[in-house]
Amino acid sequence: MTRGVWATALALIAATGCIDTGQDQVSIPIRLAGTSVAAPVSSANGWSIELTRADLAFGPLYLCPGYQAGSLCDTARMEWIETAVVNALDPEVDDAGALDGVTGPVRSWMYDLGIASLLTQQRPEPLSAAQALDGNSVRIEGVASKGPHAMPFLIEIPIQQEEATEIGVSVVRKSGSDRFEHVITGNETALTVRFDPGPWVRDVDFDTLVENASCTPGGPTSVCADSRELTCSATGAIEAERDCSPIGLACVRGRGCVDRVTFTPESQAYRAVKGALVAGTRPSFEWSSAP
Amino acid sequence: MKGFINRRKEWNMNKQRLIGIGSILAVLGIAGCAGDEAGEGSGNLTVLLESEDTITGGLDPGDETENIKDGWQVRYDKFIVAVGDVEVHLSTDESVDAHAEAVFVVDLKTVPESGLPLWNLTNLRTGRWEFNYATPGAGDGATRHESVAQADFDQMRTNDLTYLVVGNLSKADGKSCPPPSLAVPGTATPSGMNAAGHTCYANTAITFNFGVNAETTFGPCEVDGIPGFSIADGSTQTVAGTIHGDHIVFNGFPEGDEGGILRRAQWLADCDLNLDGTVTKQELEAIAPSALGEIDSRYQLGGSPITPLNNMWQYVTAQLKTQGHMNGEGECPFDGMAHED
Repeated sequence: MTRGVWATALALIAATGCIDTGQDQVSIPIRLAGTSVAAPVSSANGWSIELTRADLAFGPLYLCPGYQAGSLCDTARMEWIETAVVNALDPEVDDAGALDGVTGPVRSWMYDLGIASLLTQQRPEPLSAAQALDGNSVRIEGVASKGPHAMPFLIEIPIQQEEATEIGVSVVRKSGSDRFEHVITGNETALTVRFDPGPWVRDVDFDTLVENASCTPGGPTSVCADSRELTCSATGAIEAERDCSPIGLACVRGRGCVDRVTFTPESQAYRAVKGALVAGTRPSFEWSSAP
Repeated sequence: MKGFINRRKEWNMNKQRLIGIGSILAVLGIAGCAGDEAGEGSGNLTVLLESEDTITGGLDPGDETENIKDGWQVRYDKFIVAVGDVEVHLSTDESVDAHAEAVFVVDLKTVPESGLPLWNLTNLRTGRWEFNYATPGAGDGATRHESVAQADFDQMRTNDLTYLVVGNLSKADGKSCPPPSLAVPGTATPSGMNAAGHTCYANTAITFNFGVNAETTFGPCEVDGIPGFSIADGSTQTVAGTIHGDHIVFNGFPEGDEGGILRRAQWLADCDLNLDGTVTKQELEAIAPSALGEIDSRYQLGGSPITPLNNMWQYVTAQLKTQGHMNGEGECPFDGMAHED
């Protein structure tokens, strides 16, 4: 009720014709880029990760006049309501359309990762970029290595607001730790948003996947003795044994020889990558202006 | 308790509506084509410190909105905060401002339901004002309120703390399921596993004693989209800086209506790595959010005021940095505005 009365009051004030916003409409190209990850990424417990694919569904993006985005940004100053898949391993910039809005200061940002949550819809909606990633926000592939272990892996995660979280709010929002302030003048030639996929996997603990176990009475029917897969009897005897490495496979705790680890929502890796994308290291926002 | 909370919400909503209607009338009254002129005359402002009833009464398990959903009960023994540095600006002319710099160290457990009047600003021009305040560190000239023991005040001041929160979790069949790579269970007997496959151990009563530096500025605050407060000629207006007590058990960092948020405390129980019935700062600092099986799709950390969010001590700090509100549930952006020194 209060909002309605307030809106009426504002309309009355506006109707007097006294307000001169002094704003001009602007459209600024938005470019998306990744970062070349030349060296393997060091992750938890001494693992080394070589990324071969890091695709991110990015957008929509909103730039807000206030210092805090989210619900307090009812009206964005600039918005890019499209989405695009960013190859986060490629430092070349890709044109992704234009940010539209008006001149004035922008002090915060918020964005989704290809899956938008709207107050008018019960479920978050995968937009085109997420659809291109089979409904996911991110797809990461690579090989994690440590000592004798080489673990090919795939992580695919849809990152979205859930019914139990905050429907209608962008999933990633500027924090107090992030520095972001710019005055949109109309002289900008581009905003480049650059992503570095290294930090996305830095907290993944591949130790949770390996073991150097032996068969035990009443124990699991399959265990890993480093790279060897042991098939165990109920009495703890070894029924079969094979070395995964020579056949190009990795021995994974609870699964035996696999060609690639695919992480489930219950896994530490899944939580680590999701956490890194929503509350970890931020992309850089780089403004270019006409000389 | 639930009824009390609901009645309090209704009271807050009615209060906010009255403030909102008053604000509209004030805005209409002062709106003119000059645009930046306040009305003539002046009034005064009294600023109260308010505690959310989750601090004074704790949080109970249950299915109601305000309840903790995973069966834990939370009670606070002390909820001491350094608060003050009230700063107001005339909405139509930011150069017209007033400042009540005093910072008080207060135990919010003792604050009466009607609020604790701590700051007064006099001779404010009539018109609408923006309202800001801070929860700074106590190390820079804070004043001890009588509700705080000298030893606690000394600890706050010496360590420049913002909060000293002492409390406990309890649950009749409570368990801790610490991350396996960090757990030090000793001789504790395993009691099942959580969904992430982490071994659990019986742990029915868990205490915590957190001294936290969570220096934060709040504001400009608004209630239902209406900023600050209005001053009418010859009047004394009252606003409250309200500190909430349940954010530490939120499953995210809401920036608007907290209605969609869920309260869960299992994550804190899982941080008792050595199962001694106490969660410490050292334990929280050792735990990355991703190490906890509880921090799954039910949590959304995207609005954290601290990034990168590397450990659960930062998580606690980040949640405490969001607790400042105005007049109950009014929203105050945090850390957006640089206060004058």
